[in-house]
Amino acid sequence: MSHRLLILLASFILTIPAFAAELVGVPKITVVSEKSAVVSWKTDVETGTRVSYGLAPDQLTERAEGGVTAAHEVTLTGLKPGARYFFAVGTARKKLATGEFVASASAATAASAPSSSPATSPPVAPRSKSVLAKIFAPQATPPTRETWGNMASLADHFARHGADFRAKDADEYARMAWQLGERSKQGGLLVKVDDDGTRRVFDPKSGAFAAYNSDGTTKTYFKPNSRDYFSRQPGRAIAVPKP
Amino acid sequence: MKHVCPACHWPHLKEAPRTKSGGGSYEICPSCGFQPGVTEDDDGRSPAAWRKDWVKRGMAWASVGQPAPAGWDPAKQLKQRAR
Repeated sequence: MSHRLLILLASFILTIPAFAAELVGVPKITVVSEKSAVVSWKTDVETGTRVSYGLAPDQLTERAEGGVTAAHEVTLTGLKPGARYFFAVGTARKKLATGEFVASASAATAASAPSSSPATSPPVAPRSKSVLAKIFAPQATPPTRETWGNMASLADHFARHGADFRAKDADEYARMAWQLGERSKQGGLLVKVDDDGTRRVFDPKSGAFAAYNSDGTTKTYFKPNSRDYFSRQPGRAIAVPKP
Repeated sequence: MKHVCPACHWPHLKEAPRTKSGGGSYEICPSCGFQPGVTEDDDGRSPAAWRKDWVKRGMAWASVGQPAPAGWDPAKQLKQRAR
């Protein structure tokens, strides 16, 4: 085979359009031990396998990967016992769903050894397989044009604030902003609602702030430099109970 | 209804820079980049201070997503009084 033909073939392979994979069902999390968990999910076509995870929704800095398949399973190791983890499942290019779970020794032992104390009797991996999935919220994020208020301004907001969240492009930045708004409805974040319906949300843990129009679309999303920024913002504080 | 940027007097903002309660609109001015509710409330820079720096930088069009209107004249715009 001539070099020219090889180059032509390689070019063809590289330009084959990728099929848009869709999630089938809901991903599952199985806590194997207080330091490890297995995430599994299915897709309608074979795709790559990647779980991005971390201790904050905008800091999914850890990765675990698998092969090309339609039935994906990845083991997360080195977890901090008792810590809440946020994660996204999908491929290297596309996140199909996001969620969160707690690496909990007590939950992991609940099904296999309910009477044992996690503090004195750490779970043994082979018999501690129990589904934790304490909180899992697969989120089919709407298109950016539906979540961002003023589309003409998005590029400027991303250029100015995108680095706060290590967003790789404007769509990811807008998606992160939308996800913060969704999380704010589940409790645990600081929320204020202004007279004109503007909803302001602050996550003290990550330092992320977002403001949303009364229709739920995003006005802006960034990490304030000043610690008391949110407290100086107008609006009535809303207590959102945790589910 | 269009609104005027308190820093550079760009007359085509979509929202009032401040709401009645004092909250910022967070709308980034495409002309000078001033962001009500952030530039002042977080960065501590007043419209006048921002304007001064913008002029010093040569009054360049700020937006990376919206092109400057044909014939845009920042010096002329700056002379317009904010209503």
